Amino acid sequence: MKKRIIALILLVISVVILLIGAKYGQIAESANKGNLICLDCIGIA
Amino acid sequence: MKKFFKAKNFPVMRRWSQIFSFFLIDGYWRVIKNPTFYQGPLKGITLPVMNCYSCPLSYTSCPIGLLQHFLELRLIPYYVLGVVSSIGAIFGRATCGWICPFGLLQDLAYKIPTRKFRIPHFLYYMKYVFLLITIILATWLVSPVFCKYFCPVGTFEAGIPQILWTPEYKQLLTWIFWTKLSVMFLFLGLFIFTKRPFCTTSCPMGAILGPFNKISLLQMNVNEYKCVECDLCRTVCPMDISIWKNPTDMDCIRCGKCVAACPTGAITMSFKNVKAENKVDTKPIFDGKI
Repeated sequence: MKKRIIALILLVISVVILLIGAKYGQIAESANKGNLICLDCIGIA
Repeated sequence: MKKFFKAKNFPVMRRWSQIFSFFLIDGYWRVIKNPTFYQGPLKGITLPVMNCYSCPLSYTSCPIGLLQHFLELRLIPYYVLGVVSSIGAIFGRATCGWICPFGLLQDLAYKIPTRKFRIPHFLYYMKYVFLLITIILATWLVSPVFCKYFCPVGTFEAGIPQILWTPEYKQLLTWIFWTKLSVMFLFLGLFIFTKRPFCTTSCPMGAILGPFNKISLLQMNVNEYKCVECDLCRTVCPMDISIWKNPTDMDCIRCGKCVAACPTGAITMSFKNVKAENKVDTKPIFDGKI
């Protein structure tokens, strides 16, 4: 039971962190990053 | 329909989930007509799986790539950490087993009939070293070392197709690409001979999600009165772990293969708290036949 409570608290904290990220425009920044070709990933950087 | 969602059907359900997720995450098949890659708002979505965002088929972003990107910008990656930890708090490492496209590739490659061998368990800790040194420290201090010099996922999903399709890239190839290509071929070879070698030894996503197994809402449960310690769960486990020894093992990917294979029905996977049920003194029903 204790574990489940910890998991639920963690879940709430995680959602809050996610929302903070969204507020700071990190979803849009993620989309911008993803829309560019990643030369590091390809191996030619 | 209700009969289908039984524990013994977990492996079939998982395989369908992996295939469905593959077409959902890597579903930009328009690239066959026009060699490019998906660029759009869906790239703002990230899931806790290894899937390169420069893969021509990919709709979503790689969480490890984003983590490194934000660390390079000296920003706290709230969004990525929020997504990963919220999914981890609910499912633990289940996304590795049920939706990761690179996990699917490893599972399928291991089906090739040949002599198999086990990876020593001390190498399982290597992924935490990778996460700490090549992703967090190196990115913060120097550059994204993991993506640049190592990641076989990026080479396989993005490097090869992008270089084949874009002639200009061929002129830019340096020793970095050949190093990454060697790492990729090493892993592709290992996929055939060992169980999920990338997930067990090198996956930084697995290293982040692993500790969530200890407290996640979805849990593996072993009824100690029913368990006969036959270790069949390890034989069928794609991560080669004995779940009866430690139900909250950080390497368990919640695939449910052990649940389906357990001859006494001692292993269960659920969101329910079944600890209380385990206390009931039930006699083992194992008849010795596996």
